[in-house]
Amino acid sequence: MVKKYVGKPAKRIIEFIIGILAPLILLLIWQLAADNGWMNKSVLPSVKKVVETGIKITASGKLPGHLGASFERVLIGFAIGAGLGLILGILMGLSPFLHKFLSSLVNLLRPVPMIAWIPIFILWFGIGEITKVFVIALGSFWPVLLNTISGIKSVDTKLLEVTKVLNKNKITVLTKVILPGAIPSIFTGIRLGIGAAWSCVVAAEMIAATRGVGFMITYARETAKPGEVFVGVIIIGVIGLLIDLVVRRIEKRLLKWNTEPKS
Amino acid sequence: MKDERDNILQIKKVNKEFTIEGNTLQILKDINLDIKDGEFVSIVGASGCGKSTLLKMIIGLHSITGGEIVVAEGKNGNSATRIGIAFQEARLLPWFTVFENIEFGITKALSKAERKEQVERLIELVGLKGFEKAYPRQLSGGMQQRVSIARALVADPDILLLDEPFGALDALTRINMQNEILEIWKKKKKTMILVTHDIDEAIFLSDKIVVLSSRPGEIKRIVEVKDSRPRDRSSSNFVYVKKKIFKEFFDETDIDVEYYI
Ligand SMILES: Nc1ncnc2c1ncn2[C@@H]1O[C@H](COP(=O)(O)OP(=O)(O)O)[C@@H](O)[C@H]1O
Ligand SMILES: [Mg+2]
Repeated sequence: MVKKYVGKPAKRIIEFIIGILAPLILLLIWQLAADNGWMNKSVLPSVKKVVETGIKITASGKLPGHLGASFERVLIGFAIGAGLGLILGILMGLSPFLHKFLSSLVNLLRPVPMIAWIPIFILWFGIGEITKVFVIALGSFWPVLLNTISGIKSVDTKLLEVTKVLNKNKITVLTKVILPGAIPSIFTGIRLGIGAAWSCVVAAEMIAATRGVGFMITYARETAKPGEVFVGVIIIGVIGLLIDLVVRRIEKRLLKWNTEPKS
Repeated sequence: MKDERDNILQIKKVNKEFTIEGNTLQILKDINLDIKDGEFVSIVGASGCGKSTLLKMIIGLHSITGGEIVVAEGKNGNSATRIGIAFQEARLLPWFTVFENIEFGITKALSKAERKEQVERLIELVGLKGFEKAYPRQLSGGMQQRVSIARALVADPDILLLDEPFGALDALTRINMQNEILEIWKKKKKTMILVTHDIDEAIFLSDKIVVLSSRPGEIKRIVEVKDSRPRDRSSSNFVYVKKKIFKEFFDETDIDVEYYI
């Protein structure tokens, strides 16, 4: 018991160090490459330059402005896509008929890459906000839909027998047995969906936007500001990571029954 | 020595077949069994002979291929005889605590305070005080099984079906639980049908022991035990009955239907 108390934080620190080692090595190689002029400065700015640029455009409000625009789109698009994915997923998971009826359509549309939808949405909705929100919604729709279906379908039939024996009504069965059982799978879908939403917003903004991180990167490249390009790319990665962390936290809270240590 | 109590459950010429990939398999054949109100009946038989299947047919989870199962009308103002079951596996909801799992067994509309009182009473009964907030995965197999029994008991069924409920327990806890079940049975005057492969357990608890054969499951013999309870596991009659039942398993030719001691 005592050993466990001493061992735990130490183990955490070691795990943390191992975890950040690879990014640090990459950073080191990058700095070496810039210092020794292995690559042209206009192609690969130094780490220092990128950090300075990052601070500068954060202070001036430029980066927060673009980030805010992207966030808003992600939030709206994800809410729509994940919401629809969740509802349709539950329905398709519960109804074998609906599942049979829609699964060929789903399997036909799902492999189409998001990038390929953008021209179609531009044709339909123009270059406005609707196109971008639509792309994000569709991007987050698929993972949520598929994981919700599989979560609902994998319900333990032995637990369903328990509800039958106890004369539980359909709503109780759904809310107390089927949905809780599907939540781990639904969360996987939500994590993948948010990730997809975040990549979609950048893709959409690179093609058609005047604001947002994607636009900032494209515009910086066109105006020969490699520092800003790198800041943009790094911030996309960092935010993707943070979102994932937050969702995992929430998941852990909600799934206490699945994660709490055994006694 | 005729028993004048009413039959609460009658199993009449029941057959059960399962069809797996076009092959029809007879699992149970010509099962005839009358169970009296308040009787403690055990079913013993080799694994796979259809004991769980029989319980599932009684509670309506499996269809009956042939024959019928008649359940008596409800008593004490209940419209129907209520049947509860503790499955062979604990089958707890992993996302519910011990308290919530037992509460899930309540089938009547009760106030929150009444629910709490009932659940607490059962937690006490099955010896899980202090574990109200634990999740199933934090419990040992035996503790999970006790939660499962508590969930079946909380609805206060007239007939309680127990499918090898003590299989996951160590020898000592097992004997404790047998005593507790006996207490509940005595106090509540419930009808209990216990599936077990532990012959000692069956003799210790039952009025009537149904010995099933395998493939297809048929009733080989029904042994009545009339000794007063609590029974002494080393008494000469206890050992005698045990030998009788053992003989059934190793002597397939004897097909007497009833045997009185
Ligand atoms: N739903 C089912 N479909 C097909 N076969 C089944 C099903 N349930 C049980 N069986 C078969 O019926 C036989 C009896 O099973 P069971 O009643 O669980 O045996 P026991 O409880 O006596 O060990 C077994 O051979 C089992 O494989
Ligand atoms: Mg069984």
